[in-house]
Amino acid sequence: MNMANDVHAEYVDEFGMVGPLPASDGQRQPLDADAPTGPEIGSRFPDFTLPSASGRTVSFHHDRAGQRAAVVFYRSAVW
Amino acid sequence: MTQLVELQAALPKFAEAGIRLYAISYDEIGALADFVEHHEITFDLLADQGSKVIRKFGILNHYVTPEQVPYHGIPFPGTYLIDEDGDVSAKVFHRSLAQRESAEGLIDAALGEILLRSEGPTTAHADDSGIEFSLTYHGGAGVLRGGTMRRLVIRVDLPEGLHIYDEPVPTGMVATSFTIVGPEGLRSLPVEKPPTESLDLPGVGELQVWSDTADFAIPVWAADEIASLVRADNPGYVNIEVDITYQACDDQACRLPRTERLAVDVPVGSYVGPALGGGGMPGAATTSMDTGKWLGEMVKRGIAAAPDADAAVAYLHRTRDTFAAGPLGDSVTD
Repeated sequence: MNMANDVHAEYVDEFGMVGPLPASDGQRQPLDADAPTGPEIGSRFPDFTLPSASGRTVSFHHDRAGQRAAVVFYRSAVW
Repeated sequence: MTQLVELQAALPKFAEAGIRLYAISYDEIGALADFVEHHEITFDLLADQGSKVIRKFGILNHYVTPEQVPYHGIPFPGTYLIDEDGDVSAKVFHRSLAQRESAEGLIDAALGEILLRSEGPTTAHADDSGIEFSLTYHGGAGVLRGGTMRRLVIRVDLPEGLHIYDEPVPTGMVATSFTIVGPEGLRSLPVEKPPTESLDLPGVGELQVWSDTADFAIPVWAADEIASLVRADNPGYVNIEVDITYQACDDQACRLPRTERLAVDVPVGSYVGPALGGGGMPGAATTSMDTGKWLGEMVKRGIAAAPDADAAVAYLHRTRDTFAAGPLGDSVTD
């Protein structure tokens, strides 16, 4: 049974995703084509220092110790 | 959430590729510690309380107003890949805030190539001219989940002397194209094509072709119909069918255009929900997060312009009520 048909249209965004807020809510609004995406490819990745859930303090470039890295910015681990 | 859990599962793949993994959110450190404990996360979840780094990077989600407590302060979700020298070698931001790159997609972006593994469902087929096709479901360790991107990787192995065409082609010839036949609800972005070679045909002009081995990748994600973020009735698997239309030629003659169909069965995995809002979603995993403590902390540190914790709680409850009592609530009780 395709329950998506039962979902009120305002909760379905243009990508076919359904969420608990109307698709027009700011939290669900898709990025504009010119939305900022931060540091450019080829540029030096800005350094930062933040506490880790493990209790460590991470100074990024020092911590990666010459390794490649992936830095994931995500919404929240809570909601 | 799903993304973090998938990243954890893929940690050996990151290590193999020599990539150190970090994740940043505006959550307070106690909330992250709860998540880490509950989901056994061993990479660094960094607490950017007050969204200082998010603001410094210029990726604060400005669609969320300061009045939207406690949601104000989140970033546009995306990932940076950093090379050994400390420079940005690639970055991945998707238009939909519900679309996150898979771990495998991030590793591919860092390496600059598609690293196919044996874990993804795959099928292979050869046509009568000896062209071999394979379709591999790539990402998420071969499992489909709502909220994270995957790739359908189509590898075309051409016998020596044969080539196929990229667009544009002269009238009467057929360029290589891909169509996802099904299932309904599998959405896609434009196909990522490998580099072409130029072929100068007398009387026709210069055409762009592929020969030898060519890997095409179609980024896909599951819409609500097949992998819902809010319902527990997802199917156990989906059958993904892709049509490849092409015309193969050698330097003497062209064969007739053909369409080959490839299909794989892909398991559908569960969605890992958050503690709040999602905690009320059927089938969603929950954490032991203390809601009041988190909200209190959010307001205390002034991340949003909330006059008091009551306002934050009220907003949160309105959100949850919308979910519980709204049209979605009706459908989940069905």
